[in-house]
Amino acid sequence: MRERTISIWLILAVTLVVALNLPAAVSDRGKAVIREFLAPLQELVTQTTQGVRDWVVAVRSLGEMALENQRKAEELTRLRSELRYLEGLEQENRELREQLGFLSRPGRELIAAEVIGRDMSGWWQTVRIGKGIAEGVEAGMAVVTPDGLVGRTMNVSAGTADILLITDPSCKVSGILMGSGAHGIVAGRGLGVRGRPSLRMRFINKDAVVQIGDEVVTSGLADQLPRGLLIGHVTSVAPDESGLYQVATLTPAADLSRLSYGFVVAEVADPIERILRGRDVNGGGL
Amino acid sequence: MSALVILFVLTIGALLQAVIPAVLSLGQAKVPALAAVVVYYALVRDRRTLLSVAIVAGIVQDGMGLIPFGYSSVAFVVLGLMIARFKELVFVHEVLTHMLFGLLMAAGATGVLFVLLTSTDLVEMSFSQAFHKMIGSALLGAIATPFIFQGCARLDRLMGLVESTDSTWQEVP
Repeated sequence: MRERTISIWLILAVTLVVALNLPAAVSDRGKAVIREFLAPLQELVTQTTQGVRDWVVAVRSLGEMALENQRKAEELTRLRSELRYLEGLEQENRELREQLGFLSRPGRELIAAEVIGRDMSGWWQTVRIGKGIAEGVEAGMAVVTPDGLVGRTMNVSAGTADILLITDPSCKVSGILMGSGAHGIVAGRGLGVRGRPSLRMRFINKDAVVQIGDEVVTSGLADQLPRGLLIGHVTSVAPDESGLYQVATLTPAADLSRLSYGFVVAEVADPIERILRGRDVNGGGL
Repeated sequence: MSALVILFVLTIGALLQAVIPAVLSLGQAKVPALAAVVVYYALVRDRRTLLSVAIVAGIVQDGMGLIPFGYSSVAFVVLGLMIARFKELVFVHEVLTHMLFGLLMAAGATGVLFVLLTSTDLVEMSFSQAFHKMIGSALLGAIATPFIFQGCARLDRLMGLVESTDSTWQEVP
């Protein structure tokens, strides 16, 4: 009996030691299994609560709906005309690039994903989406809403992916100020007690002219995120402690507190480029 | 049967912890549902079961988030064993006992995780923020543990795994 008890304690101790020293690949696979197991239940509960919340909001705002509909219709008309104009520009741009012999830029595919949960430990600011490797999501991809950048994907499993939100201090993004063209590193500052998110842009050239309200977008340098995604707007600026750079405080463009869906930005090669590459592989010529 | 009940309880605990949002005013603390399950097993069941539950609960908590595997298990095992040492000295069925141990478990687990996560540079958090989070977790632990304790106890009684008397809880041999 005593021997059996000792062996059980030993097994438990070994389990703990093994869990603490698992190689990254095994650990990631283990986490994926647990997440995949709980994801359907998590999705069900989240969808139910979201449904109830939406219903309450809909009942409350019945009077405002007609006005909102009209505003949306106007916006749709404006966006459609802008899209037609941009399609013309894109066509022109492509023709010019081909004439100059440039390779076309990769296109972007947006993978719509619903938020099925938030970080369960409370140590990071993350959300979980119900799309994963099966839908083409990979680690390090940008996640956006129509308002702007939300974060980047990490810990991707077959049917889920965690998004590290831009408000998390460990999420660092290379940004560019649209006004002056100055570069910097944007990192999260967490949420205040009242839940107001803010970001900090560091290492801005001390001579750059930074104005309140300036837009900051992703620079596309040093990380996997594509260029030109709106991160936020400048709310204040000051020299840093060393006096060599400036530090700006930003408000994120996307509303992260009410995040219920997002779009994962997957870069896909241009169809023309794919054909040209295929031709190279096959020895060229039609 | 006992293993199935434990698995069910841990799944529900994990689900609760995952879907209930963090409380911003409490340092973004989450409802410590899995920690509360460990408190129940520390007070009611034998040490071997407690250790198994603490390790698995920790693995589930770490597996659901970004914490490396084993960190939460260490916290749950250490704190669970400490609570189990006192179970002969307290009224196990009293709500006040559940609140007190829930508070200690949640605050302790947050403290242990803060030390482990900051020492490995996985989290950027100041001591004051961590202290705020510990207070928040303690408060949520004190509130949530009595409910989760009652739920676990009812389920165990329903399955015939424990029998209750006026002053103590005894495991069915």
